Amino acid sequence: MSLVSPFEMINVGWQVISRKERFAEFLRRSMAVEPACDFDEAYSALCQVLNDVEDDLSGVPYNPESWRTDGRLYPPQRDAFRESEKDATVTRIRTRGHNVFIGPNGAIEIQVLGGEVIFEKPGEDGEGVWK
Amino acid sequence: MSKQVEDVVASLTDKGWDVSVDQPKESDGIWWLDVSAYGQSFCIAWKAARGFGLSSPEPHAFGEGHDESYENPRDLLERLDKLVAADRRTVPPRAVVLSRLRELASLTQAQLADRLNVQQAAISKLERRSDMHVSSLARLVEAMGGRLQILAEFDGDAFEIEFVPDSQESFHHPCHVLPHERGWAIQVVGREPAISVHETQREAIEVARDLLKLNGGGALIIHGRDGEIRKSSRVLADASSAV
Repeated sequence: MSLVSPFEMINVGWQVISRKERFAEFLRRSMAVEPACDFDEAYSALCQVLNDVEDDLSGVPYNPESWRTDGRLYPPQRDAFRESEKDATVTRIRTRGHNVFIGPNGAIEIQVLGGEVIFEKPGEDGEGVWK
Repeated sequence: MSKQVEDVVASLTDKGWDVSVDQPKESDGIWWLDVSAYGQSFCIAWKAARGFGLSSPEPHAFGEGHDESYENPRDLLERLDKLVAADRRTVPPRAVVLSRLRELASLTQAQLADRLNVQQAAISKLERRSDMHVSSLARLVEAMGGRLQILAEFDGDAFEIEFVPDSQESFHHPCHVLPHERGWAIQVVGREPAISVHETQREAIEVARDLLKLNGGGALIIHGRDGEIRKSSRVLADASSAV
């Protein structure tokens, strides 16, 4: 009899919370980290924070190769990058429900698809994405 | 624009649906099509190596994968037609559906567990099971404030199957709590792998009881460290259990 359980791979700790709460936690932790000095630092921090939140709170193992949803939120990959129509120096990253804008100064702005801004964080220079 | 994306855009535009094309920076990146028709909205993603992804928009689905996937435009367009005609949203994989329903009901796992008089761990496990009794599903949905409806569809005709929960329904096989190299495993004979593994026997027994309660009751067999049966009991479908 095999006793290898798929649940052994899941570090749930029985503290799994909803996507809405996890997304709010992602925004909270993203605001708390030190401001980034450039695009690469900002993008890297964004990915790290979301992966940490999902590792801690989603209960779903990391599997970025999954094209269909597995219930986990993933950092947008480089194949989601676009140029911003408003400012060519700003990178737009498209996800299923959002657009993330990252400026060359490390500033971040997240909008829902309708255009409403739900997150703004200045870069290390204190300026926003659209300075 | 790839031929496949072009075909989809042309077909949807011909129907009079609104389509907005979001082009990637690199040609091998992900294309997004934001589609609106008759008050409904859908997000379509396409990538050469992946095919099409289809989802209804959701405000918290940041970076989440797609609810449905299709290899070719024809299957995607057929599905869109059905969803729009039936005024329905896309359907995520089965393992994700229950947690989504719970979120729609604005309940945490702990709150749902309270309503069912079980531990949060049991809800977590149930949401990840690939299969369960209809009675368990009905209880979960009712605890969320909904009603389980089973439909049989035949070429556009749908028939509701009336479901009356049977309080005597139970696991066909006993639920065992067994020693495991990393602690204690919950195992239903005939179903592999083990349902879960826990650090302590007490925790394994508590979770096994909850699972039995939610699955219509059944026999709970507890083994000792030597593998021998130490105790057996009957767990009823409701909050009580009889030894």
